[in-house]
Amino acid sequence: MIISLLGIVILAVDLIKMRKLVLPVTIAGLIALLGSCIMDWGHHEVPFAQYGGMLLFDNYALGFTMVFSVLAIFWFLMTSDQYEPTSSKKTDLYALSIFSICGAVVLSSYSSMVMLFLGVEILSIPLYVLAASDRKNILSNEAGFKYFFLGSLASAVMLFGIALIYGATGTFDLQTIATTFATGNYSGLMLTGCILILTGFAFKVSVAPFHLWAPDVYQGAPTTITAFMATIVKAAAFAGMYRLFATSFPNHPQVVTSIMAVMIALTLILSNITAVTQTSSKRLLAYSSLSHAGYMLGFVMMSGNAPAKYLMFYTLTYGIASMTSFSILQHVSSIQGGDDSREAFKGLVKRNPVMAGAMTVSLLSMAGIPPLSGFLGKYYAITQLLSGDYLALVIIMILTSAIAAYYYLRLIAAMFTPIENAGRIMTGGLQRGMYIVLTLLLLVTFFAASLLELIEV
Amino acid sequence: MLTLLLIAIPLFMAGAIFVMGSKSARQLALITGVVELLVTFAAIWVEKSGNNPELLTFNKQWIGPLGISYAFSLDGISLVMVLLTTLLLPVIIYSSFNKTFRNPHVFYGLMLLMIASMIGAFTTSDGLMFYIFYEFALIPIYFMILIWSHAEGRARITLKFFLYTLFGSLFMLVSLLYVYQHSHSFALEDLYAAGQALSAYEQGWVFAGFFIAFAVKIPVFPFHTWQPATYNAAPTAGAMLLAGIMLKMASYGLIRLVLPMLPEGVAEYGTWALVLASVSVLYASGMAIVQKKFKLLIAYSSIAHLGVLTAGILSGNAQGIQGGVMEMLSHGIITVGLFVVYDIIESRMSHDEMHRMGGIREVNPQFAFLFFVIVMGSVALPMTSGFVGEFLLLLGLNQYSTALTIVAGLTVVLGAVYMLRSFQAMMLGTSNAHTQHFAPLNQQEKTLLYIIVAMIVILGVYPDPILSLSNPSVETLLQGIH
Repeated sequence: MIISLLGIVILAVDLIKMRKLVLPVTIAGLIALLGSCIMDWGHHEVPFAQYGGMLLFDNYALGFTMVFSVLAIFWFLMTSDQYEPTSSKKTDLYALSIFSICGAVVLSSYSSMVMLFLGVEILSIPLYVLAASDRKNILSNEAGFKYFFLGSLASAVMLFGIALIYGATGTFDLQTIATTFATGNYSGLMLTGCILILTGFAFKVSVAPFHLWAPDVYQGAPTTITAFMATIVKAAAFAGMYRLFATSFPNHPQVVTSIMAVMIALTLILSNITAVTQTSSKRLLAYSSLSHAGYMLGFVMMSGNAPAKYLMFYTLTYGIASMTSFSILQHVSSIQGGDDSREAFKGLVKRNPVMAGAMTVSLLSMAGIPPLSGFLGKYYAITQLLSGDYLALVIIMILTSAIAAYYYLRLIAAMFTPIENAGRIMTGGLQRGMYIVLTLLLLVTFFAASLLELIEV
Repeated sequence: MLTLLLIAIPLFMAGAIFVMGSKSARQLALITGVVELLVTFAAIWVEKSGNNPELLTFNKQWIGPLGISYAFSLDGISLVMVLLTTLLLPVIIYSSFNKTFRNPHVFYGLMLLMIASMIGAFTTSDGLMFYIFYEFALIPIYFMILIWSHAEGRARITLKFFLYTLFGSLFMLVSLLYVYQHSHSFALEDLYAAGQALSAYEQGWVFAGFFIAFAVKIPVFPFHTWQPATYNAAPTAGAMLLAGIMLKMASYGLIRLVLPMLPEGVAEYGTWALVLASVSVLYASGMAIVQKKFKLLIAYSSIAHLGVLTAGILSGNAQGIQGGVMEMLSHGIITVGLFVVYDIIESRMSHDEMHRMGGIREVNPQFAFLFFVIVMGSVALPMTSGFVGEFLLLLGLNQYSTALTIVAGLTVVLGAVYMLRSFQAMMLGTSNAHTQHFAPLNQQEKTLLYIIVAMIVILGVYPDPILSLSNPSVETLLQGIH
């Protein structure tokens, strides 16, 4: 049923001949998707299987699909003023994003390695195009090109890993791999495969030392696409990663855990320190997005015994905050003729109080200041790691989050610095509404976090 | 229920003031302050009468399985802290009445938001809630200083202030979570039990985490470097909130969290903290003596007094804690008093360099007299509130170490040196061209100074209501330790 609904969503995109209808139809499709997830929720004893059991819609998949659809609804609404309503560009863009979201859904629900690979590709291929969608901008072209080249390499590495695991176990099925793995006598082939898949994922979610493409691509791509990549795509890649490691390798081999721990430490340190030196706010947000990947990888590392709902919570709240800040960045820099340094943000509080407020709340949430939900996300990550006795990682998290607070606050301080003769920045009513809603959500999700304990994922 | 009211009223009024706009924002804020004070008195009355103790507590699960709840309870110590907050709130708001702020509704809204979170920190009985309130109080004051300061480099100063304190509190979070790993609940009694079950060595490390957090906020040498610049840059009302109330969250945290949770850690591995606090007294007194600006002098004198406070509390006996509670109240009142004096001088002279003044007493004896009483409170003369607190603190510290007492006790001597010298420089002598036209006090200034002087003297002569209010709670707390 879900798949068919997804089909409807895709069909909606084919309505391009009635261009003005694209947005409402897309939104309606996503809401339908959300609704069907809620209706199927809780039937996880008899999960919904598709394609001969290669996709399994258990609560995990449904939960993440809900996260994707919520974020996607916000994204479509927020970016609706970016393109002329009747341009063909807009419809192409919508179609590609929807295809990418399909990939995300597959990634959260696969139960076979084949589907894992398919999901990764469905997710990525539209993105290569989207990153390069600003054809006249050389940076955008560079971003698409770079992303495509390195992305395919990562896919190849991952595919190789999948092949090795198939060689070791003779199956693509996650559960069967898990039983082989649980016996304890697995070959080096399997371990190598596991590490190769980890490497492929590490590229997709952009954690150090496989992160070098990310700042360039994030900066080069049109900002709306960057927002898409930093939120939905990242959440999807983590959903896929978590599913694999939680199902097939619940007790990670020591070497895999160690690799992940080193990756987390490197990501947190490199991204946060590099972020401080950035003058372009877009690049700064790109590095900040990298640092959040460090936290999310922490959940994957503890996936043996930590419930997935905390990762969902993190991706959702981080997604909201990140999307808001990218969107505001887009507005401000387009008014300033492409300037996105801190200077461009000066006096924003006078020029558009709603924007300044939303940006402040989003940045504070990403910095992890209570009572915003970003704090709880980080809190969950830290408690998970502490329960696994990774005190050193926790201390790195804490030290680097103080660095992160530094660069977020610098941006906030700029917004509240008065400037002479600043004109107001106008926003569409829909956008203003979205900013207010998203800001409130960051507060509400904090206080409603107790609901998280009621669900079982 | 009353506890919830105490937090909900400023929260609600902050929202109302934000929405209603700049018109009559300050009046609304003042009314809120007075109502808060009345609710506090009601709470004290309930506590004293002993009937309906359920009025003072509130407990509702927030994230049940993780052991986090909205738990608040008012015992004697909390009540004194709340009293400090609600006594000072109307004074602080009223003291800003003669000033015009851009967007006053935002200013007062932020102030009430901060008050709500500080009362939350003083009354909560859940460890994580304490952390959340403790952190959240930073946000309003950060914006209050950033937006309404006129100082040069305020962005840099406020950034340092925010980051430094945030960085410190993150250590507290680690310590808190470390204990939580053993208690699986953030309820204070569970944290106490789990903390006490740790080995003394572990307790020592956990204590270090807490102490760094609190030492940054209090501040204790060498973590104080954010403080003088921040006080100097802050609008006076902001500085009053910071010095008068906000940093008391840290010293309150020492009493509420550290002592009962980590008694052995403090006793066996805590000496360095007491030594730092005592050094802090000496260093800050020395710095205060050489200051030329009155506002910076207040800042350093504050560090000196709080050094004694920290050392006294950490000595961990009844006198030390009682003295701590008393001194927090008294220091809050006196510091706010000194800032009121600063404001009066600054508004007339448009600078606060002490050596350029002199002879103000000739021109305005009434002001000089009121200022003198506040100075006496600050140097802890008997019959003032400062004396009761510092005497008890030193008494407590003496049970721990006589050597440290002598060092920390110098605060009284050195305090007299810098406070009297500054008083002399500004008030005594013959008036000069600058001070000749020192305008008489207006009604608002008079009211403020008389209220503060009255509080200093009443608490100094008759401190018993406060001491007897907090005493049972201190006893309970100590029983839990031994």
